Amino acid sequence: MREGTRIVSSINYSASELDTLKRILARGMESAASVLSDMIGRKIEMSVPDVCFVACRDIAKASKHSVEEPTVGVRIGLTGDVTGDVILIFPRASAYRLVDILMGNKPGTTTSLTEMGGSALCEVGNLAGSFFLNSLAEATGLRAMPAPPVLDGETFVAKMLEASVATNEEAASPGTGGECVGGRPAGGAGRADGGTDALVAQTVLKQSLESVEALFFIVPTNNSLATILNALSSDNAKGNGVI
Amino acid sequence: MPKVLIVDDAAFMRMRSRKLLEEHGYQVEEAQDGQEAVRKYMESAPDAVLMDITMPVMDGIAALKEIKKRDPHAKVIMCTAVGQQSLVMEAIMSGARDYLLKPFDPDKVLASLKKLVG
Repeated sequence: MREGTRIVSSINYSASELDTLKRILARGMESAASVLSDMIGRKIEMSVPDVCFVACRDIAKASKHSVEEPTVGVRIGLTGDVTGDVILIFPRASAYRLVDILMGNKPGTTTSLTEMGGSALCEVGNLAGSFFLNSLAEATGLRAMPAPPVLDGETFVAKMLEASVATNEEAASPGTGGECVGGRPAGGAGRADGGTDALVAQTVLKQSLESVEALFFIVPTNNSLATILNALSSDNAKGNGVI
Repeated sequence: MPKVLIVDDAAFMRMRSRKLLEEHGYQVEEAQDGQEAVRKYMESAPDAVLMDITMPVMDGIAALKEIKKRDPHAKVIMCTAVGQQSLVMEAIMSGARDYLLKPFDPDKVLASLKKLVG
């Protein structure tokens, strides 16, 4: 994490609950990475996911891997029992190489993003988001759907994360979902100073041979974190332990 | 020549599916959301439908239900990345004849279509 980023563990969760959330999110990310390998027919390596709470006001600094130049971003909203965002960020050169692989083009063919190229990257995002949710559903029994992917051909990591956390904060505001979920305070994971935290899971996907790299983020709303933990605890109480 | 309606909001996926099916002798129609799929189904009466689920305007499950309401014999294959058990069950209970999980596997798509329409 870059200097200056404030990381705080939410006061709403115990160490074991945080550990459970990390494992569930990491497993979902692994599932997404695996399906992307299948999609492009080449092994995609994934770094160990980093999952931590970040103060919302510092979200722009949350990325462990800084990409200062404009990037290509795909954002997939999550709806249903689990809400939030799945975000893929490609450095431009990586995005173009990936489009060439997906379209069966000679390497170096793509030099700008066409509508078809953008659609191919959206499909990558769709698979990542869907398989993340498939894994989550298998572990928790919750049902959530990915929204159609939204492509931003010229964005920055910070901009994508800020847009995502703005949705999270909106959900946490009074009267828009700030009620208790299963006895837990839902909405913002509050801190003593009155600020709000967001959980960010992030990893790097790499296809070394083709030099394709992407940053992969999961930013669930805080309501969803409580829902996931409640689903897991009720499953475990029934003796169907899944983690 | 059997006619297949491909329903997917991703132009990239429609292009891949069209290329595959035309190479194997199918006639192809396209729709990019569930609402357009229902309209085109009624207009062109395809022999089978290859339907994505995650789409704007009307999703694939809603479109499946609408098509089955109008034609109980419609042959609809769901082709999606969403593989949650409850959704698969809902699709099958709503009359889907097959459920193919992405990523797009040409052999599976062709085998499923062959079983339904030859």
